[in-house]
Amino acid sequence: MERSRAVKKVLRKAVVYFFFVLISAFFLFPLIVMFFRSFFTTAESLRIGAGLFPSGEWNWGSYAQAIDSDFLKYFGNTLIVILANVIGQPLTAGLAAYAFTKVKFDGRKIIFTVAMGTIMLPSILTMIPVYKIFVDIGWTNTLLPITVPAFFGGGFLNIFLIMQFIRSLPKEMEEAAVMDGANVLHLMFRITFPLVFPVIALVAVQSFFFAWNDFMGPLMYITDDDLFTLSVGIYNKFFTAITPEESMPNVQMATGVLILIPPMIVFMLFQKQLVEGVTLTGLKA
Amino acid sequence: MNKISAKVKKRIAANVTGYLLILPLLIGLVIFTVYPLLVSLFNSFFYNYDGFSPYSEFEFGFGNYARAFTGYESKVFWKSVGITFSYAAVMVPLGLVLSFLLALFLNQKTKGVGVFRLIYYIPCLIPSIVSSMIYLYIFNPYYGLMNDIFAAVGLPKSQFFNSDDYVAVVTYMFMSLFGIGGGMLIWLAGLKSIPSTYYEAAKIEGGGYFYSLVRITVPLCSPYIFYQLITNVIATLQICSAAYMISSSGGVDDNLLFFGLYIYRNFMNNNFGYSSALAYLLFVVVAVLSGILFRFNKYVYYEGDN
Repeated sequence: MERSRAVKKVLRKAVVYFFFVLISAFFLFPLIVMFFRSFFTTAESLRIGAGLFPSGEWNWGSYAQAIDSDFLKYFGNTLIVILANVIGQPLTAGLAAYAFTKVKFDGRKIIFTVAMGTIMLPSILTMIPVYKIFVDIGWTNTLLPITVPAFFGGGFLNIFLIMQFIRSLPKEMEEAAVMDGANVLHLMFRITFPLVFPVIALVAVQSFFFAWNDFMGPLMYITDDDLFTLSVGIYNKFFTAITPEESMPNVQMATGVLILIPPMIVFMLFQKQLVEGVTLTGLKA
Repeated sequence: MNKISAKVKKRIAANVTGYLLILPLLIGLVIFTVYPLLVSLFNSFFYNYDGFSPYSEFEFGFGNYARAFTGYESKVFWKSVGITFSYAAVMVPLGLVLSFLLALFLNQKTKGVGVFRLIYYIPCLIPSIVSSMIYLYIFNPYYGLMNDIFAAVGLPKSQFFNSDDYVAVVTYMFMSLFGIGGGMLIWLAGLKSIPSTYYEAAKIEGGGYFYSLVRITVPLCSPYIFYQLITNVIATLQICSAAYMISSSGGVDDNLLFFGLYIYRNFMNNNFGYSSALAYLLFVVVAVLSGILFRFNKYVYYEGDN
């Protein structure tokens, strides 16, 4: 009796794990294909029925072809955009969140309500006039339209998120500092922000993902190859190829592996905050 | 007297500090949101406005809106609406149910669950440029892996994204199934928030697994259902960049012309007036849908309500 029960339990576990692995295979399928096929030669990557694994030697040449001077140039531009977003968004959002929670200025409720009301707005609705503004002030074909706005907005969802954290802080520390004659800047940067650092980090990480993935922004504003970010540069390099030989699927896959490495590293480092962030805001990176 | 002036001083100080701190936000709100909203509305009433010529050259009225519904554009417009809504009608419910089942399955105390949770979420981290490259390759009609698999199980070759009918949209749907890990995380948060005492009580009363599922789990998760429904519908109506990459602004015979992409294409072709009108139509639909969903909110259970 005891034994059959134990067997049943083990069996149940085995079935559960079997399905865990099966579903994993589904979700990892695109990545596995990308990884193995990045070691194909171009001819092999264009063959029908080529299978999953390289038939002969693993071709590291696709990576050499993927990391050309253009790739490094696009990567450099992307880094500039990321830097601006990772600094700008948490800073703007943090300042606003502090003001909304700690400073009793007139009209804060109205401004807060208006700002929150814009969360549901389709971004495509504001895109055209914003584009025209940047055209009029001559910012097209510069990185400015995709870096400067990061310092003027910060994302209302981010503000909301930081506010929730600031509200949960105990008041005593701040009161003690006020007694000692600390000013607002001191209160913010020495007391409040360090205490809510996890959520500031979360906003920064989400800004990183946003900037790394952004495609429409650079596509709209930049036509000069020297200023392309990775997304747009890679799109122009491969998606406009005419013949299959020019499209080089193996080099595409190698490029994909390379582009995926930084977000994966960031994800592994900030895994806990990100998973919590998704559940808090419902944002999917 | 002194006391009052101290109070006034404090209030002025609070206002100065407050407005200085939200100044960047305020500038951004005006320049990047409020002003564009008004300009877009204004532009949408100038028939075929191109964005750069003086307004006096264009006819004022509802011409752009009429153009979408009845004009020579209406065929493309309705095709785009059809694609977007059929996609939403299938994928929003399917995505919700599948991610819920996934979360249910993962919500057990077994070793290694955390690792599998991460694996299921990983496709959400892939930048759309990378996933577009992968899926265009896998679904390539000539040398793609998917046709190899089809051949192995005896299915006929498919054109996938290149086919000129619904097959392209179905392929797109299949592709987006890889992204349900994000929804799964939200469901998991919902499931974790249910106190285990409820389940114990149901067990004592003799309720089985499905009884607890229908009577406890689903009702208590309803705020999450509501939230995901809104955000997923709104996100679907705005699908743009991945569809752009996969179809290069519409695909064969506009087979992947999602509504967001349709707006973007018109914008790229300098049809500023028309695309503003389309964007406002989208805005109205989003607002109405949010309104309906908020009405449903009444029937949603919130912790602490009576």
